[in-house]
Amino acid sequence: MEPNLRDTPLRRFNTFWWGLALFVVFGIACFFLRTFVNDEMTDVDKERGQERLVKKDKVEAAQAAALKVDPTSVFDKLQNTLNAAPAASAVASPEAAEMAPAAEPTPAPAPAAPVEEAPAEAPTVTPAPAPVTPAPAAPAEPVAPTNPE
Amino acid sequence: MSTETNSPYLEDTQLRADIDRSLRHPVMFFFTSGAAWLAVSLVLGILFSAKVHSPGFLDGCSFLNTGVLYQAHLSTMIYGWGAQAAFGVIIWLMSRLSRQECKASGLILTAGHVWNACIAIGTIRILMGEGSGVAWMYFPKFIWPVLLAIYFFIGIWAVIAFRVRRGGHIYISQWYLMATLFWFPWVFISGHLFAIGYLGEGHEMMATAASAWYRSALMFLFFTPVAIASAYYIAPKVTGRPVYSYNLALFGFWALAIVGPWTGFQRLMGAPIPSFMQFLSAGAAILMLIPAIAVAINILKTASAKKDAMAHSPSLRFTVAGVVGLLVFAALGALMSVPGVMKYTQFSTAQYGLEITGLLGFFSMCMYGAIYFIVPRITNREWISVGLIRQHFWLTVYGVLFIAIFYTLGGGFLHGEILENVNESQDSAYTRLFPYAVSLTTGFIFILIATFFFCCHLLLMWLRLGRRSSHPTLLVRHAHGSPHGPEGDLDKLENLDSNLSTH
Amino acid sequence: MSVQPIDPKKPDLEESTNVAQQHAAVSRSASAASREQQLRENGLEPVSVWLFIAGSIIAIIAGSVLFKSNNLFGYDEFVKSGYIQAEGEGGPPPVPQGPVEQVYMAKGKELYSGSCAGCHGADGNGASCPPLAGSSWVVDSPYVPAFILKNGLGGEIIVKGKASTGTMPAVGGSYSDLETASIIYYIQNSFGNEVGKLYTLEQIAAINEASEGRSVVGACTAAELEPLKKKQVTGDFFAAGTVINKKTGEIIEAE
Repeated sequence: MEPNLRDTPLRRFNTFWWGLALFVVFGIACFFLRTFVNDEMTDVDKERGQERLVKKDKVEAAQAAALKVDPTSVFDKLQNTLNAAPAASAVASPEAAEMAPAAEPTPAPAPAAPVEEAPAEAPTVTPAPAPVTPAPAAPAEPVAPTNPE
Repeated sequence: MSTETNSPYLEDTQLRADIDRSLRHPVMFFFTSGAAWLAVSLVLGILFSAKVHSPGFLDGCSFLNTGVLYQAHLSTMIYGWGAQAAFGVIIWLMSRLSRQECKASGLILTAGHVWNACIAIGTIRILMGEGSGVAWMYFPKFIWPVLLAIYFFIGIWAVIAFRVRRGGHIYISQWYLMATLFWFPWVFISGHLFAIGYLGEGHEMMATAASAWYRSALMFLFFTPVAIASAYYIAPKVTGRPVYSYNLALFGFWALAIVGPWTGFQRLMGAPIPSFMQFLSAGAAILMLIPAIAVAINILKTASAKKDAMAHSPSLRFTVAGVVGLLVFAALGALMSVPGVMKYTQFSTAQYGLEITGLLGFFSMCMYGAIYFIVPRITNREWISVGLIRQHFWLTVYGVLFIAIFYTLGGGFLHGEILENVNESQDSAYTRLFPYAVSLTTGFIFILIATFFFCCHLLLMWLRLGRRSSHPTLLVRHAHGSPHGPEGDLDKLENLDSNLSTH
Repeated sequence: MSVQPIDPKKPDLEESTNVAQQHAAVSRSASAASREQQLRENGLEPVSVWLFIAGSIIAIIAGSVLFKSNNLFGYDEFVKSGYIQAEGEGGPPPVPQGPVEQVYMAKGKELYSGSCAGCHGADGNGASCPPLAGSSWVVDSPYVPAFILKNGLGGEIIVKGKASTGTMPAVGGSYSDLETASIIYYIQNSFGNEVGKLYTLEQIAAINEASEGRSVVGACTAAELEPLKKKQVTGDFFAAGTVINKKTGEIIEAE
């Protein structure tokens, strides 16, 4: 067979590295494309979300401002009120204690307002069964029996 | 061979045999593992199709949902069977036509093993529900760069073989193969970069368009040219006749190169992508008929120049069936790109049926023809059973015809009509489409049985249990004397040496 | 192939070659390669005229599709104004319908489990909120539940002898008349309640009108609702078994 003049080690070497270079060039092009092509894309959800977040901040600020009394400072007073009305609370507290853990998932009735009323209500309502105040005050009731200890 | 002979024919034969032997391990591995993945893919396809018409089938198994089954089925068919069969054919054919022994067989074999591992990992991740969900790119994102790197280590040797080729004439198959070797990474990178690389960053329409383009481009710029290259080799080789018209082959190649990359967007007719893309693709899909017809005329005329070759040779029979499949695939694709017809077929089963017709009816048939030709050469054994080959052929043809006629055409148009009918109730739609959905399962079952025979046959050949004969396995017994001379067992030929008196 | 030793009298053959041996070696190792034909690609058949004609027809069809789009980037041609999909020959699909008590019960149950069971309990015994079972606020008049649904409830209310304070949002503020009727029917006929009155949509509409005409703004209070307990609706109720449209509540005439 006549010798194959085309088949030289140089040609093989060249072809291999040119092929690899082609792939690498593609890879570099992809890299540049991904890092330097930045379209500012947004979608409707994000826009509406921004609006909602602004509203939420406003609502929370208004609620915090309307909260004239720190809820934790009222617990002691409530506890004293309940201790002072043993007959009423003897009827009320089993129900209250039973209701209290279940009060947790109550969907957001405004907790600030009843707590605010509590110091005003407590002296007047004492003879009646203690009102079952929702979540923030509720933990006070299970706490009540243990506190004297 | 250290002996010097001045017989160029013997030298050439010896060279060809050396090339075959050097490529035995990688090519045989690609074909066998590809056929195994095809069987897996068909099983998954049957499960998927069964769930479509019998929704309660195999309920309760979270990794057997219809969604993940479909994704795994298509992934294994394209990347497990299609890519590996194509790789095997590319490296063998390019080496043979360039008259270059392959010196990197071990590396290619290792690359093939890594490819298989990636497909296996990807398929398991899909079945676990972690696929990417993008059409034809269902594997998780980390797999794709690995597959690309593996492709480099398989394809570069074919490019090198071409560049250091022996001989002055560049064969038609070599045009197609060289083009494929560069088209495939381009299509792969572009498709994956724009369809997956930008997912979730707000470019969803671009990703959709890129995915639609990738599906067509992979079909027309990777699977099609490999199958055509194999056909342009097998037809003249088996018949001994020259290719019918060289100029037509030239025209067909350039028509494919020019028209092929434009198709794909017609699947998104009516989507919010620029309207020129959709109509351009629709026009290109219709124009694809031209290279298809050119190739078909060339191959069919070449094959029919020797009348009995198709009856005798399994390779030629499969190849010709594949070329007819190419015509059917191109015609169906063109039909389904006309906007009036798209009204019915765009969202119907016809789309999936078309993909299957192309993959199984055209590409796979041409690959089977190539495999039946190549494997005896690289293992130095002949196929064991004519019956298995015949079963493989006819069952595959039945299966593909079932799917093409009933599922794609019948089911597709009926499905489209049902979708158009705004008042059709769910029950009525289910009842009307039920037989066509069952036809898909039936077609797949036929093809699965055929593939099972094929896998067994291939496995036996891989284990070198083929016939040790100097005669090829033909589909027809010659009643009287064979053109190859009296049949002789290869082993008995060894006795010739000892019988000779040495000088 | 025949086995022949080299004949020294035939000078054509190169002496050192044992052709038969060569052939045998080739046949053993390259039997398939040795019987291959040569690949010839020099066919010079002219391209037939029919192919040109077929190609032209295909190109014309492709061109007509290609140039169907008038704009490069426009989307107008994809939207046909006034397009209505065709109805099939089977006629319009059957309207979902059922007897009114079943429709009310099913719809009411669905609404209750979605919006009410969380607070009032799945059994109506009121986990963290007042119970509905056996509650006079529920069974005495439809006005009370309707008003509470539409406006919410605030302040203290005594239910079955127990007082509870809390706020209920206006859960049914956007309910349609059919939904309001369903939920009222459900709570009045479940958890042991048995009122059994099938309110028509007109009656519910009248109640809603009254609700909108309230002089007080905001959530209702127990004091406001107390007199409503005695208010009854006027007009005829649904007859049991009347078939209504599940979606709109319209009466469907029996054919």
